[in-house]
Amino acid sequence: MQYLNEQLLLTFECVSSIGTSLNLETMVERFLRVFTRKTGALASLYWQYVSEEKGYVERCFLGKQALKPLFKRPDVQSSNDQISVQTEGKNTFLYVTIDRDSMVFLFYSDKKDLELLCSIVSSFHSKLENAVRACKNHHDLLEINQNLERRIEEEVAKNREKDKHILQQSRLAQMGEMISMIAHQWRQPLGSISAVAASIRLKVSLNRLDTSSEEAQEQSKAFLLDSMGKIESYVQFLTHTIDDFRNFFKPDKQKERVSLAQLVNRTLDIIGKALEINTIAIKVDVQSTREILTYASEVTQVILNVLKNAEDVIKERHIKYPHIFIHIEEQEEWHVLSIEDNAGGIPPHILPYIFEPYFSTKSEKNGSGLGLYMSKTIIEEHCGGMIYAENTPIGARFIIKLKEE
Amino acid sequence: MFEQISFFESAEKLHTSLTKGRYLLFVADKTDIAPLATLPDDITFVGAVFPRVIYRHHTYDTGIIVAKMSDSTLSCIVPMDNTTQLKLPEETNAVLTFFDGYSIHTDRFLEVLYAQLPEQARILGAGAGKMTLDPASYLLFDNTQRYTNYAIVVASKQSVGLGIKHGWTTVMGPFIATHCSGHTLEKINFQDAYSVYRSIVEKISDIAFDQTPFFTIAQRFPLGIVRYNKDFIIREPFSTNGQSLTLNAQIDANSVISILEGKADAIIEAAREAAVASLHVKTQAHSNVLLIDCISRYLLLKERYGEELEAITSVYDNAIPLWGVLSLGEIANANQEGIEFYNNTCVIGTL
Ligand SMILES: Nc1ncnc2c1ncn2[C@@H]1O[C@H](COP(=O)(O)OP(=O)(O)OP(=O)(O)O)[C@@H](O)[C@H]1O
Ligand SMILES: [Mg+2]
Repeated sequence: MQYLNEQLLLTFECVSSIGTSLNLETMVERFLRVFTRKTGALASLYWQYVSEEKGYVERCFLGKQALKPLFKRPDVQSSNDQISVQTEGKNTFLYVTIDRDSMVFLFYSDKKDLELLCSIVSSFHSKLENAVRACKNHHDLLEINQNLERRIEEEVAKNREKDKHILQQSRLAQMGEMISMIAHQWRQPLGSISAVAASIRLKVSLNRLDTSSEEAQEQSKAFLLDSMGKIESYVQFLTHTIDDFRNFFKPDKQKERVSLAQLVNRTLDIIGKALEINTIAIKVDVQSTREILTYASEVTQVILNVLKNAEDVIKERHIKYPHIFIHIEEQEEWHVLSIEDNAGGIPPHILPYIFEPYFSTKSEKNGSGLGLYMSKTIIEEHCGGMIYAENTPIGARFIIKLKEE
Repeated sequence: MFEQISFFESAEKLHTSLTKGRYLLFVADKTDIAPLATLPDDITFVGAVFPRVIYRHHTYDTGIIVAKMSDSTLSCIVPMDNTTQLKLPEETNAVLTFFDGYSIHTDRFLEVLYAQLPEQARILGAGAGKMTLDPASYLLFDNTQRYTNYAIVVASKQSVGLGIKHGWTTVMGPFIATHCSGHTLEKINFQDAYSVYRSIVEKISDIAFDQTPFFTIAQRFPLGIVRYNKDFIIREPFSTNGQSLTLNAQIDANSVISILEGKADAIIEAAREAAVASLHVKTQAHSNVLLIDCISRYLLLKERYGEELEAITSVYDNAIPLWGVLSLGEIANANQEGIEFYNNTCVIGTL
């Protein structure tokens, strides 16, 4: 009677320990522990059949490690019985097959003692099998989920690639911008070069390059040398621009100690002659020659841009007695350069937009609308200064403010 | 395993009596062990503190039992949560372990220790502890330092005889421990464990719960965890919060339990049976008898505890010394099953 009672109780405890986790190893370990403890098994081992490997993989062992060699890896085609008992000397093994997996318990008792155990195991066998399957299904689901996660990650990576692409595009755009700026900067010196070349050609075609007398020879030579010098200086400027633009995006570019007057002179060296040709009078009023530490050629580009715009508008509006007035002074911590023209000024309705990229009123001349935008970027973002425009009674005034460092 | 076993009333006495060698010490709760620090360097020892120690026909709350290890006996002290450094030779036949009885790692420690045992090895051991739970106290020590959450492991080629018995009998059951966590038994049959326990004990005895310290009730009426075809394992609920019961060891959820009762005569008889059993499985002559007896038995039997010692010694040749401890938890394994952590049990080893 007591015996039967115990059997029922053991069944209850084992059944209660089944399916307490959806992790196969945890679930099996709990079951093995309870079963082993309550039945006095010496050791137990769970083999999982893994179809990819066409064989059994050890999942969980409880008991003396020294007893482990006694457990033989099950054959794939071993007995069909769900529950079987085998005796080898004093060792008795209880084999339980669960969903192709194999569970083995070692006892030091004889086969007869285990008969009752077998009936107990068979009473909860299907529950155990269901629990094992549930764990495996759960595992598969987790794996599917993980795959999903991996796919999501891949998509995210792809998107990142796209972002990169966009970045690259914007770099390309910047490069395009740069090229158009180069084109813009080059138009003037190239025009000047062709003008010089044209004047040489003109002289030659008019036979004005006189070599008959020594004096004439000297004169012609002087003219040619002068022309060559001009061309060389334009070419040098072209080279400079390229270098400057190339260096523009490099953050490690070195600052230079230079005065604003020097920068104005450098610019006029390039563009001054062209302005002269258009009979634009240039007046430079230098109130301060103190040097500042700045990106010299970039500031030169800015001055160039502003002068160029003045020239454009002067020509466009056919201004009589055109002139440009350049003024350099110090205002508190600022070194101020102002450039004003007498071309009538900027129409008030476009004044707020002239520093925006691609804003241009020069459709015929095909302006890029980047000159002032780049100028603002250079002065405010790179050099830490300010640039703005205002109208005077007779024209426009551009003011560039830089700090000493 | 041990060459000689002696008892000393105080630690000072060891200075004049011990010779060069390695020793296992059982120290009774109230002993001052400070003098051990000045023992000569060629005397090395590992020791554990117990509520009382047993030597021949008596138990002591002060004094030290000194067991001199033979050369082939191994001993070490390992952390209970990491026994990887423990390497037991394959020819080991007996393992003794004395571990921190207050450690939370006990169950895991025993499982891992069992897994590391050579196939044929038998094991017995005891939880070290004190009568009063003093948080600053330490239970294990060696020449160099004191340890908490450690275990002494002694291993030998010599084979040992083992007897395990308790003498408690079921008065009511079975019940199911429906909610458990660690050492706490929360629900019995889906109701608060304490109220179930109380109503049953009140039914079967005339104990007034309001007037009796809980632990004295629990000593008389511990719980038994039922096992298939095997004797049950005793668990003593040592405290309660009025709802759940706190046990002195882990209990698995859904364990089947009974309420047990200890009757002095049956308990004493069980000790004698354990002694007899220890001779049955013994394969070679023994030179001493190691008794690991639960302190609960001593507290329950009170003045009759002497009868238990007599019952045990009567089984053996009078010349063979009996030594041991009153412990907080006993373990034994005659290699017929996994290690179990017992309570209220009498474990006897013939060494
Ligand atoms: N001195 C000025 N007087 C009147 N309007 C001006 C002056 N400077 C610039 N502007 C106006 O600001 C606009 C933007 O100038 P910006 O230099 O940015 O581009 P752009 O000169 O039109 O083109 P690009 O510089 O590429 O040739 C010009 O189209 C023009 O309408
Ligand atoms: Mg422009």
